Amino acid sequence: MGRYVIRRILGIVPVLLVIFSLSFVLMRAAPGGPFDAEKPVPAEVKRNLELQYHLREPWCETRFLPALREPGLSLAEERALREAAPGASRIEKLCTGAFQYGWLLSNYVQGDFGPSYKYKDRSVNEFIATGLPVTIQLGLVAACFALLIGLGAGLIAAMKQNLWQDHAAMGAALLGISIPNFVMGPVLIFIFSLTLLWLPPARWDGWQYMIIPGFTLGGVYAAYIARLTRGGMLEVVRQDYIRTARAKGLSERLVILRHAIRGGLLPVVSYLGPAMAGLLTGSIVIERIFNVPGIGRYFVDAALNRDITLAMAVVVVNAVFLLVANLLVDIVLGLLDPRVRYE
Amino acid sequence: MSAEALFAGEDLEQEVVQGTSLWQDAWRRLRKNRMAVASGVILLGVIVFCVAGPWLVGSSFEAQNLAYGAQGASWTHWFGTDLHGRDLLVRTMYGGRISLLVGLCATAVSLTIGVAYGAISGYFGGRIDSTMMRIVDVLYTIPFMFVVILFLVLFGRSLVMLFVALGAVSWLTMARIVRGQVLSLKQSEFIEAARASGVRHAGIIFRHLVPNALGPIIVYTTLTIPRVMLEEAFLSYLGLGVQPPMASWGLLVSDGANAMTFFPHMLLFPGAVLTVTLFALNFLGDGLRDALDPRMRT
Amino acid sequence: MSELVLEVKDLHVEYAVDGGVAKAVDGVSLELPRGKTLAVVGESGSGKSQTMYGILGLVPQPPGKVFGDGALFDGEDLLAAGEKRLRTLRGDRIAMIFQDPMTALNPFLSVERQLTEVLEAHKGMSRKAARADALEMLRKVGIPDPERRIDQYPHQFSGGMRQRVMIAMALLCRPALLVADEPTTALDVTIQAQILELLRTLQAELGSSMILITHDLGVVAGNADFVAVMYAGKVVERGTAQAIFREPLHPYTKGLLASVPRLDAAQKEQLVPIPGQPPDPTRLPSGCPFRPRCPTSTERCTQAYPEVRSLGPGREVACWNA
Repeated sequence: MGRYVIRRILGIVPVLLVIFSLSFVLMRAAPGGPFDAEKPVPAEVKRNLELQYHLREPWCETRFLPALREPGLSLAEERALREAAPGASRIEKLCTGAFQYGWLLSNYVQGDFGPSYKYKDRSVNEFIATGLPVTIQLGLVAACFALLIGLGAGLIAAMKQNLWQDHAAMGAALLGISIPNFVMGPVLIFIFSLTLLWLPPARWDGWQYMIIPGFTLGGVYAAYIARLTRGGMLEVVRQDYIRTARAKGLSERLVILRHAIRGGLLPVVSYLGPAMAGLLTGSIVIERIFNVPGIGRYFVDAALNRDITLAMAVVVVNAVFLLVANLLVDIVLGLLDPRVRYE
Repeated sequence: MSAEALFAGEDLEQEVVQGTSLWQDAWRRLRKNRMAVASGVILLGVIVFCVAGPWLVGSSFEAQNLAYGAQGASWTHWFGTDLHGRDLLVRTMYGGRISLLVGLCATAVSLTIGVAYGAISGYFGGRIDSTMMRIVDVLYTIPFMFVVILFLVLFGRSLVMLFVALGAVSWLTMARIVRGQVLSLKQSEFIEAARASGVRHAGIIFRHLVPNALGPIIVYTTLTIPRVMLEEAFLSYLGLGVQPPMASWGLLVSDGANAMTFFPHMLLFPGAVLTVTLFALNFLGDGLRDALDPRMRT
Repeated sequence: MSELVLEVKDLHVEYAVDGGVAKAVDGVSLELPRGKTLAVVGESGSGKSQTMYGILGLVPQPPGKVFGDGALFDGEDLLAAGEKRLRTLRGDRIAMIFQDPMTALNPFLSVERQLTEVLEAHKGMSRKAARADALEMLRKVGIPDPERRIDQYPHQFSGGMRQRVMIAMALLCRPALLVADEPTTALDVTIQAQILELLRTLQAELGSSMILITHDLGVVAGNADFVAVMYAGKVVERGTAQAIFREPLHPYTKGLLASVPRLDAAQKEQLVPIPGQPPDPTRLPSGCPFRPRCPTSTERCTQAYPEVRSLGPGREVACWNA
């Protein structure tokens, strides 16, 4: 078990490296520089900025300069040309990229995501430190809604199979899967905040602010969990060992709670990994609708502002989150099912 | 009297079972599922509404009437108008075209990748299979929407990019399903026969294996379309998908959400059409699964 | 107490299915004297297991339905008893052993948990006391090193060992009646003999009565005192084991006997399978349900189900031509 966990944690490292590299390549390959959109700054200032963010690497510029010099230009003229357009040649670009990659990676390994491109006086770490706890709170509230409603509705549906309770629960579940959260969110705001005036429509200042966003984010997963719970329980109560439990004269409560529920809930537990990914993705739009200051909101703003260091850090942080969540799910699955072997 | 004589040479009454193909059976079961049939009809309605609707109504999705502004539903404008005085019914129709188009094209992309990947993995088996499936396992843990958003922001937000980006990240489950089917099918005799008669790998995979895995492929494709449409709407809602003045359902919902304090109809109508369409697609997918694979039924 | 531990009178078990009613058990009557073993024999789907589920209240209702003139266990009508009363009897006074020990044991719970919960439920024992009893019972059914194995999970046991665990579970409360539903079908032949031997010894030791459900007449020989042969939800022939083996009357019984390998058979005699399949319980043929497969059927067999004829105490047959 201990060895299994260590091996799985080691297995996370290459995946993270892939995600890091993927976002890095996207960022490098994007046309235009990060500072193009701003008002023109003196060349010297721009150069210093680019040096600071390792978008320009003096070694690469000089190393490849003589070899790439175009005929008829003096070294000084060539250098002046390059000054105006850094990384103009492909080999130089690759060289700079490699340096930047190494620089960023070593920073990431040390837990330093560097400064934001957009807000130059704030580090990415500050954004993550303020945004992540909010997103985690939102995710937890949503997960509570999803599990409570999903398990409840699923169990009721399974016990009342083919009766009206079952049809009602499953119809509601399918509806829950089909209503996009960005439709549900505004509708709920309209009903509960603007019409009934029960709950605040936006921001994040206490528990009453969490109810609508949490429900909106968790609703879809409640629906999926209800379907999985129902299916799993119906599958299990057909098993021979449930008949054995009844033949032993156990009370119905024990038959369900001790014998049926473990096997019945295995599909739900394995679903929690993907659900986690969904919650993170969903938080992007939920945080925007409800004006919640979490990292999902920062991410969209960062992407739209081309604040790529921040956007990239959010991607990597989320990936770490997901990988750890998946690992936890696998461990729980192993604890629930003695047949699972940690190989 | 020996037992041998007892049972020898007696004709048995045997019921002749009418042979019905899998597809006939499935079609019969599907027709019995009233909700699935209703969903199919609703979908057809939505498609006609979006494709033919604009001609019937005969006004443009861009035609503005700023003086008119946003108005609730009326006889001239069934869904009302938006802040620019544009007819919301027509915009919903045009938006539906885009949403359906993205749903179909992105699903086609994911279908192509998923089927090819899964079939190759299952067919060759062994090391190739375990490596390819390991990659899928790893990809499952990547938060793809974030990467897609990054991609769209950095490389432009055209429709084609949207197809490719959404398709490229939604083929994983399809690959797993097809692989499972191919793994179980490739042991069967007709595949052995094809191999023995020298059919090439590609021929076996795409002419023999994939057609026989069609049932699950159809079911999963039907369920992928609403998912991809939802993702498109999600991106458009964030302003990363289809760009104005073009409309898509996600964009209309986003406009509606911004204006709902005073004009709830702007949220209500596009949101309802989007929900109904997704609902029908999901229900139809469920119905198809029950019909094509009765064992899965619970 | 009457001398019969179990007396079933005209039991019916029906299931509502798409397009009608499946008569799984269709008027079955059985008798089992105290301390004896009754074998209920028939092909799968003949209603043997369903008879027992019906008596013990294990038929899910709906879609199932159970009715009849009574199922007297020690003089108490089980059909009239409520679920609560049945629950106190099941696992305590009446215990069941199931066919497939691979699926009949809960894979998620340790053997200890699955054994002790029986004693907790019926004897009100603490888990610790129950564990001691369970250990003793495991030793009795021949599980080596029970102190270690009791904390293991079913998948860590072989098929034969799992069936021994099943038997231990059933015998924990020393039941008056043990129902063994195909206890050896899923096992290797050599293990089969061991398990049957074990059942016989323990039955003698505890003084239990036993119903042995099987499709294999080979299992019946030497293990049962009485035999009831079932076909399509009905008992077609009943008698002492001796009578059934010596002088089978119903063509179906004859067919079953002819399909069993026998050591004492003449060299040339061949094994003859019964042709065809048992009928679909939703669409039983008119008259005698065995008619389509019967080598001696006559016109009369198509018209009405044969009356049950009594040929002596406990000896009955339902065939126009026997």
